[in-house]
Amino acid sequence: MKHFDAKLHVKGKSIFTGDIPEPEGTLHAAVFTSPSAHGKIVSLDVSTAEKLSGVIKVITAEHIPGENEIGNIVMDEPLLAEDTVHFIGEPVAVVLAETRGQAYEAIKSISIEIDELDAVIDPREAAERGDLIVPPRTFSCGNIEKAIKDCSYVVNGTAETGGQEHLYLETQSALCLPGENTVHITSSTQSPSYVQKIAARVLGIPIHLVQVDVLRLGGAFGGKEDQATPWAVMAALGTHLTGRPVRLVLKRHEDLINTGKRHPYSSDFTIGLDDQGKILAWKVNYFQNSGAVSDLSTAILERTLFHSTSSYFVPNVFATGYCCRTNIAPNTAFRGFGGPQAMFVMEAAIHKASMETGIPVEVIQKANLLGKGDTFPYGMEYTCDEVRSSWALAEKLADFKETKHNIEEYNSNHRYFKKGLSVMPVCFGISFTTTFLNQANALVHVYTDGSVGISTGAVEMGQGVNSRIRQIAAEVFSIPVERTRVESTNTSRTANTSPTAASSGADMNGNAASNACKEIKGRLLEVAGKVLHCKADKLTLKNSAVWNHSGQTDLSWEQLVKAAYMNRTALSSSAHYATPGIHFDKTKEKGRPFAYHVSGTAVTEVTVDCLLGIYKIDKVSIVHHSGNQLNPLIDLGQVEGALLQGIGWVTMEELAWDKGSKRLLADALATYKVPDISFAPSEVKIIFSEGEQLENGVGLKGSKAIGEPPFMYGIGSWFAIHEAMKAYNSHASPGYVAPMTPERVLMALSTEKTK
Amino acid sequence: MISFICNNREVFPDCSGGLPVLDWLRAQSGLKGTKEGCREGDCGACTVVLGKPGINGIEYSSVCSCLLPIGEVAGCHLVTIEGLTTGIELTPFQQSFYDEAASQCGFCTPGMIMSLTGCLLGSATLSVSSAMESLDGNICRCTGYIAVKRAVNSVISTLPAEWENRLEMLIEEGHIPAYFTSIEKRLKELPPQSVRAEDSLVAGGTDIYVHSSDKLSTEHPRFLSKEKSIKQIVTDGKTVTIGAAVTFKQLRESAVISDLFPNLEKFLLKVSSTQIRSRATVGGNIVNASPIADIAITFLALKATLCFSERSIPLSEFYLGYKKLDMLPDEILTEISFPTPEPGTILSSLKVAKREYLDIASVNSSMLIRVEENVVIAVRISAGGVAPFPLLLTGTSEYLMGRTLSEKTISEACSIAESEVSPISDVRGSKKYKINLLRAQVRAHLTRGLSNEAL
Ligand SMILES: Cc1cc2nc3c(=O)[nH]c(=O)nc-3n(C[C@H](O)[C@H](O)[C@H](O)COP(=O)(O)OP(=O)(O)OC[C@H]3O[C@@H](n4cnc5c(N)ncnc54)[C@H](O)[C@@H]3O)c2cc1C
Ligand code: FES
Ligand code: FES
Repeated sequence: MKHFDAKLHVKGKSIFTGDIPEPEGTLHAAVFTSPSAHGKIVSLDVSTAEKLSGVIKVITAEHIPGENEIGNIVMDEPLLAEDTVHFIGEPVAVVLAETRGQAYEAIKSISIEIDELDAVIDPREAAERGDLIVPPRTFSCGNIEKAIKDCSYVVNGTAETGGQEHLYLETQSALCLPGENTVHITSSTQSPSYVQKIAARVLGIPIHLVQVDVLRLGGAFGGKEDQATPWAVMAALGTHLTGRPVRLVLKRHEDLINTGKRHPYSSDFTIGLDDQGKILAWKVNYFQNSGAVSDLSTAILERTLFHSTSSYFVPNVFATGYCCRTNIAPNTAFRGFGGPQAMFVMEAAIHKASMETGIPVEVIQKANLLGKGDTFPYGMEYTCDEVRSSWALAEKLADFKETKHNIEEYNSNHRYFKKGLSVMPVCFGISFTTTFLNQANALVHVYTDGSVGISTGAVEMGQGVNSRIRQIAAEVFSIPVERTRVESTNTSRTANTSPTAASSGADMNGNAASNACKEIKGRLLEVAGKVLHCKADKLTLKNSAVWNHSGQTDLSWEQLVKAAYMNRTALSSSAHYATPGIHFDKTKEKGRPFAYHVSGTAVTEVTVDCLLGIYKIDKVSIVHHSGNQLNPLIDLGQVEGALLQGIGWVTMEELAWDKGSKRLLADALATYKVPDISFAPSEVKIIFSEGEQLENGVGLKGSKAIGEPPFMYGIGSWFAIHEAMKAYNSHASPGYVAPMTPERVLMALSTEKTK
Repeated sequence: MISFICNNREVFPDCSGGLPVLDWLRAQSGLKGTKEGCREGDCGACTVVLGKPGINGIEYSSVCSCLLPIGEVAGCHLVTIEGLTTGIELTPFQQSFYDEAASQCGFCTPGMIMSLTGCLLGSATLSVSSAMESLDGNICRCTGYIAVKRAVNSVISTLPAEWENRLEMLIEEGHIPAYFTSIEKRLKELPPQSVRAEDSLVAGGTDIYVHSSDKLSTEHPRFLSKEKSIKQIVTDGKTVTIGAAVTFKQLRESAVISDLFPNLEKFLLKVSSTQIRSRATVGGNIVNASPIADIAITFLALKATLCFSERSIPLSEFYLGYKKLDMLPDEILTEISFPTPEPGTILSSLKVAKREYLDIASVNSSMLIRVEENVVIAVRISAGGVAPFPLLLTGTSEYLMGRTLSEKTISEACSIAESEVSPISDVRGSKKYKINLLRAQVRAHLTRGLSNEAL
């Protein structure tokens, strides 16, 4: 099985939003944004810009016919700033001009006067001021205070994880065309229905007058879940106000500055263990740097709380999270959605506990791995044993003992070059933690020539969801995949869809598509029964034909479809899917929020040049429980891609803001570095293990979601580098701060005294 | 009016010579397979292959079309992703990317395929490592490159070892369409080029286009590449002379250079990327005067002299302050020369950045050194990222002269180096880090630099 879209990609024939030919009269939009991190707008003067050649209109908040509000969970985000600006890069005005060059030229002559207000970028400072987006939330179980008293060891510490730029290669983009009294938006979004709903709200028109279409995205990773919306809505607003097509494509520099990223977290922990290394108590405070508006921050913090104990069982837990409002671009969804941040803190705590107790890290990790029947702090039971089994398999795959021995030997033979090893178990809950989002629908048409068109709410962004859906449809009808096609994601064909996110796009939309196909198949078999003069339930579809108990009949798939049409049988069907068995009570913070968990374990080996402070990731061995794989090639790509993104997050990817102006310093690809081909681990071994079976009705045909969980394997690199540093200088202490940049390595190695 | 061949078609674009090829392709030619990811040369999504008529037929290399002015393409063969599949279903690389799912979202893919095609057409030697190297300027955020490596391996391993007639071989193997054989003749038949040259001076364009693309788009730049005389590397045994318009690629492939400094080639791999090295010039690097300019740092250690039409001055006296040069506004740097070092002299060059390849140094440094029986006979050390301009560490060099290389000497040299510099904290690191890194590099030069040990 292939990633079918790739056939077009390799020829450069795939069409992205920015590739759609411009209709005649298209205007180009450029966005004027706040130069200040926080302040009152004293005056905004667009009059010079309006008079420039080619400029058709300059839109400001006062032109908005509907509501100037694009918030999704919390209503706190204007499309265009009105009287206050809250971060550098906040949209203030939109210039529409005949050419892109004219639009960008015009922005330069917009002037704004701002009365500066205090701006913060430190989430703890925001929390101290009480600047929280919503009240803090706590997940707890057992009796934390008592447990801490009973522990042999109690270790306190702090951990910091930095933000992460998505760096989808395709920047945010939209093209909007006018209809009769409608607008037709093509948007590079993971959430066509959000764009639709919010465009309607801003334009002050009913939702059915807005159509949103998405062909594919050039990468997203969560960065186009909520954050594609403003740009699409601005284009729609432009069309609505001028009656002309409007194209808006962000330049990379703007995309980096104006859009939010993975949330940086600053956390305090207390971990309590018995003398065998069994974790008895886990108390943690997460200070999430939410940015200036809520975006998806509250949902992301919720997932942090769900994953506060990572892959471990802890009987007494008290985990509290704060969404801290700061003056940077609103942070947002990014692969893992708050999970990685939680897991880093737990691993940091275990590492610190190991340093203080002398019990090896792996011993503590292993002693506490989740087992069948353990209960998470949020009340859900862990029903399989995949964390432990993946750990055991990964130890074997990586020759753990032997490798450890070899590393010790290597380290004793090298003065400056040191190797390090780490194990990273992952257990990640699958489903939107916001229960109502766990629904999807699909519309399937069988055409009279036997070809099949499928529409779902899933957005293709490289993760291969379209290939999986085609496979499912082809399987139900028993026809070649080539006879199926997944249409663009369009709000007129599938309505009220959830974002393609939370790793659940294929699970949910695939199931919806499968239900719709089965419905049509049932009708087709009825027709076949009539044609072949037998009972429908005696017939099946196989190899593009109708089969009965004695084998293939003369009725081919194509003939059957034609017969059904002539018989006036409905060859289209829509279907809905809702993930069964999930619920969550926010008043108690207990329930069963996930359909299932995905687990696996990674072993990472690195080499650090302790003289220069640089490192290489030598090898990563992963055992991943994938269920019954539908498309092994796509699964492999998801694990490999997520792994390197995870490694990037904890190593070289560093966001920094100027302390004074609060300007983002890493505002170009020259300053924000992501892994390149030479940084990819020299060796990656991945074993997919089927693991334990899912309950009926969840997953897609026994396969498990795969988008996000493997990201967290990357966290192991941080700890492996730390191990190597310790081998050079046992006092080396970089603090539990990610990313572990070459600077952090060298500073930690050279400030302390060498052993 | 300029003309060139785009894929299999003669074209006569009606636009100013400064327009980036990327914009011409996407906005004026409907060739949208070439993608825009950054417009700063750092992602490779816009990679195309440029073929220039040379002494040995057409010389092809991959370049970033976002930094390539269309005037530079006059009389050349421009190949885009659309130009690969004329009469071919999929090239072997396209097929292997498909088979291995080395393309997920697909946005980086055309650029990668073009980089690999550039490697097939233009690289001196062809191996798995040269093919992987050719992707050093291509960022992919989806695949983690692991499937890409598999795809590259599977193709390279099937390629014949013998490359007598590369073009024909590539056509036979389906890597390029048959029309490639007609290009050389057709380029000669293009009408005489008349490129207007009245505005900014552009050498490789890899600095100036990053910050002034919009302005240059409507200009008619003067192209330094049009002057043949300053594109050569020559030596008379005593002095090596390098034309200011020599590209990093030429420098890296030059036998004159590699004979003298066999280690330099590896360092040059860390300077920008394949696409940028095809265009970026030695002169541009020196004149641009970035405090971390890798080439300027190297030439400082080599005791280089700069030649302008009327005068010449030592490179060490060229920089007066941050981006302040001893140069008149209209002066053109024509040549850089340096004395051939005594036999036994080693050039050690180091660069540390967040990312090993295609990144700007936090600190870089070069040491030209000759050691006999552990005694330093000659030495010159330079460093970047530690002062407002590329800096010669004269004090450190003087201290080391004539000394025996002991732990004490090395420690002292590190401390003297520290006293000579004044780095600032910025996005590439704190002041303290840069000092520590410089110390580490001085130590590394004096230990590993002499023994060739590296990570
Ligand atoms: C993605 C990317 C990565 C890079 N990585 C590195 C790196 O790793 N290390 C590094 O050092 N640099 C790097 N650079 C910077 C750049 O490539 C080099 O500085 C290069 O040498 C500039 O040369 P050029 O010919 O392209 O200059 P241009 O951009 O053509 O010119 C730069 C300026 O110098 C002037 N100029 C050029 N030549 C002459 C001359 N002969 N006489 C008078 N004036 C002249 C031009 O008028 C212009 O003002 C990178 C750039 C990019 C885009
Ligand atoms: S667009 Fe990124 S390198 Fe040209
Ligand atoms: S496949 Fe998406 S960036 Fe490479």
